[in-house]
Amino acid sequence: MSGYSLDAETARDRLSSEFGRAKETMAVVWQDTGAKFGLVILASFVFIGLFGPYIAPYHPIEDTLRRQGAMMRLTAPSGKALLGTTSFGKDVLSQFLAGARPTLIIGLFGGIGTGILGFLVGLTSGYFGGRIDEFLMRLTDLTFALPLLPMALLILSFVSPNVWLITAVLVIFLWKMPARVIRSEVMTVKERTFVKSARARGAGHLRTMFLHVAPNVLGIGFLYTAYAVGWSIVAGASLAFLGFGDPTTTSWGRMLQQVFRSGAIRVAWWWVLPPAFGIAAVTTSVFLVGRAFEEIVNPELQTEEQ
Amino acid sequence: MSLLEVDDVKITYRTPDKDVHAVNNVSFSIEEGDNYGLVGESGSGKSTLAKSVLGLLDDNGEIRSGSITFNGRELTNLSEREWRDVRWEEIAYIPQSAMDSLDPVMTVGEQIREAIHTHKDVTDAAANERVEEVFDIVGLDPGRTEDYPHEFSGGMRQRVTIAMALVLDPDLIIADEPTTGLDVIVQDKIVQKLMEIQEEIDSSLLLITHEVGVVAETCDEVSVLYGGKVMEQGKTFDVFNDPHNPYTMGLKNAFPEVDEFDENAISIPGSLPDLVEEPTGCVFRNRCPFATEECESAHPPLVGDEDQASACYYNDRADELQERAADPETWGIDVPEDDEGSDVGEVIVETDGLEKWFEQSQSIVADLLGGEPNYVKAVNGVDLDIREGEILGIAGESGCGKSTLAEVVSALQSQTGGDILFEGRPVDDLLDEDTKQFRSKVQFIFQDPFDSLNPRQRVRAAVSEPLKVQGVEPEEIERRVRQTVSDVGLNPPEKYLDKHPDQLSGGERQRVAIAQALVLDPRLLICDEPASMLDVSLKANILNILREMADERDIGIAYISHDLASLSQIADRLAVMYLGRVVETGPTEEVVENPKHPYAASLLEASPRADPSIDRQRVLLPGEPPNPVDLPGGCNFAPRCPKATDKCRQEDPARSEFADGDHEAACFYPVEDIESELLARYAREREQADRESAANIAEHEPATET
Repeated sequence: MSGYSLDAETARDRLSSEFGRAKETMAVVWQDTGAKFGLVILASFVFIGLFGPYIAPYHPIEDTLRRQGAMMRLTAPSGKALLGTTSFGKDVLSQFLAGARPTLIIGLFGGIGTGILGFLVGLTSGYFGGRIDEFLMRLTDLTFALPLLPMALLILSFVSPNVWLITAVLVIFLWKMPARVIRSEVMTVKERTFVKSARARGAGHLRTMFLHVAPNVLGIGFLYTAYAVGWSIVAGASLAFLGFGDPTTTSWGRMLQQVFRSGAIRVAWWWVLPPAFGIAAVTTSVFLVGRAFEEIVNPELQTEEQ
Repeated sequence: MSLLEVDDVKITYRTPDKDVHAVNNVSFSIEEGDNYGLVGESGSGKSTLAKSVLGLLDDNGEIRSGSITFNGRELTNLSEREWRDVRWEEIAYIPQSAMDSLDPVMTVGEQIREAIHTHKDVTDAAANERVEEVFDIVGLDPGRTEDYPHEFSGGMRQRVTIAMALVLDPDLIIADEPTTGLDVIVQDKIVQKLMEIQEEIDSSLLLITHEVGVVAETCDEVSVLYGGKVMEQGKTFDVFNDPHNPYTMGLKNAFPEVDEFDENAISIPGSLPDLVEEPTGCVFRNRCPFATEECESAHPPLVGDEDQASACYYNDRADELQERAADPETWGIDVPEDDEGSDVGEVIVETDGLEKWFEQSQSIVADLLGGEPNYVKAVNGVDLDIREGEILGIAGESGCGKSTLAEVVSALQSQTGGDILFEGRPVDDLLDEDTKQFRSKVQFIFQDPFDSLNPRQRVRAAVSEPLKVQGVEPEEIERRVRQTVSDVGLNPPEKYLDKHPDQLSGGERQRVAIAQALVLDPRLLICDEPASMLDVSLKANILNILREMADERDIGIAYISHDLASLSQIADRLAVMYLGRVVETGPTEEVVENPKHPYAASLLEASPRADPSIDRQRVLLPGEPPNPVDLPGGCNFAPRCPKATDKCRQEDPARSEFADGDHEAACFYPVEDIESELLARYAREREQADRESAANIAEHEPATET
């Protein structure tokens, strides 16, 4: 039945108008100094994530730096190793550059996955209400009740972790936040007359849900996706720090774990600071951009704008 | 010296792009003990003026020039601290929506006491006494001061806000649309109360409203505002009896009167000017049918004497203009040929004993014990039918079940009993067979045009959506969308198709909503108060479109409203509902001129009149509709009916108890003379109640002293 499907023309129309809105939104976000700062950091982070391994002077794990035949253990920054070396003589700068990629993957995909899953659950739950809502919301209660780190550790101790698996685990634990918020938002929008009106005009549930309700809560969805990126990065780094990261790749969290295990955490500042600042800078930027974005999404400010 | 003098006031609002000139050189004055009315449509600057008198202008608003003096004291340069003394103690305010203006977590008594304590140094006991006193003045039970706002009905809450305004014996009360959103009967009682109180405590009243009728009936003097300018000013009687200004004429003619049948309602074409620049010409010239070049030059000065002054260059031709203004064609409205009666066709929809009961939630324990749940009988055994080309008006107070009825008939909610037959077949069968097909034949228009369009959809997408759902070809869609958009009066369609709803005015939005409903060529159109949120001048326009559609497209229309005046203009037949039942039905003219059911008669009498020469007796129907749970046996209206006998309380009258052709009323003792049988009795009953409560207080008072 076509009443339950989305026709191509409507979809295209929607996409172009959404694209136009996205451009306007970015223009507004760009007005905010904090957000501008955040966007620049995020852009450089994405750049390092994509090309870091190629611009790194050494291989982060295989190359052991030596000077006069002796392994350079825990040396302070010097001409040969710009950011010093680890206790095994590895170049910290190379590890930092290579370590951005897993962080980017976890952050980006974990965040987007969380956003999408949470949006869909919230939309379905809020739109249909009743038993479906009851079931989905008890499910979110369950994920709220389970502590993230212990549960993630439990899962990861049975399987050998890799970046994608960790991303998946994070999504499973983080979707509840956007789901809750989107649900309450959908419940408000659902009560508005135009939704009832769409039903009276003969639109099916899918059409009403995605063409009438969803666009009106999309802003909040984006906002929470941005926040989820920050949460995923922090949670991914925490897991790596606890030794449950992917053992075959270098990541910022894993760098912190190694410096902690080596016992040099109070001495080798050049080894601690780069990953620590990296994580802090990226998450802060995400929130800065998110905050500027929130000003647009906030319904009160929005009505003034229109 | 006048109590309040507003002299040449200019108010602007700063917005990011431009300044909005909301009020431009307005002057008026209120004498002590007078009722003054400010009438105008939304955007005319009347609320802005009221706020400036209270010193409560929004942060971006500013009084640019002019002065406001109150009791000889200049108000425009008061500091916030000085304002606090003036507000409430000298100038009190009755806000528009009583629903929102009371704090839900404080008892009403506490809220009123708070106002007293802020301004006066009195003991709690004394404050309490005063609260009980004002409660009694506004006709509320003084024993209920410790109740919370949600325990009061809408009308009673409005009384609480009035009590709150009275409590400090202010010299001036500003009432901003005090009855908007209330039912006519409640409105009548509130207005009556306001007038009585005013006599009693001798304060002045500034009444702000868009209802010409309310002003015409209550105020001594009036200013008609438009676009931030005074269009006409003077004694209410003179202004509305013999308007000199074309805008006043339009406004008065657009205001529907209950007993004007089948007359094409007048609407003022166009919309308010955007006031980003100070007006250079007459602010009304763009919509005025009599505008000439002279009107472009400057806004005309107010010319006339104290009794009546009008801002128009053609005041001397007022008589001629009045005559022309009474003709809809002057306002650019096409009057369709009169071929009434002939085109009413077959029955489209018929309901038979239709019921919609909502189960009230009860505690789990009661559920387990097998307790029978209570039902809210929103719709309780309704038999109605709607024919082709006919408009059936469904009238009733809020809470009488008319909106539920509408949603059930259009299958947006399922019924709990009875049958709905659509073209002779049960709706349930049709829905099972093909929901889409059914939806294309029955369409719905909602009350709130500001909320019934998806803010993310352009007009084109909104109007074409129903067709897309039905799977119509794209070229066909484009053609029909254009056709329909132009049919509902949005011309040329190109101008509107690519607009977003927030770029449209309220009237335009409602027309888009009507286009959405009509684009499918439905057989039945159900309208739930489609014009109640629009200005008078636009209301008539929507009514005319619907009338035209019924005649031209042969569709059946159910028009639901609590506004009997607009119903009597548009509907061929009327059905009056009370507590989920139809108590009277028949041809509109019959029902309006000769109502038989006491409730229908009261409702009809309560409509305000714009003509100040009519002296109407107010309807003081006691009580409020009971909660439709656990209704007593017998006639539902019996507890409030002055004519009720034991028979009424035991037996439920059938709908056809009184029958005269198509005119039926569910009453054992049909009304013969409204005046003597109902209105006089209501008034007597109330006087008696007043005397009793006065006696109670007299008895009470010494007791509290000792």
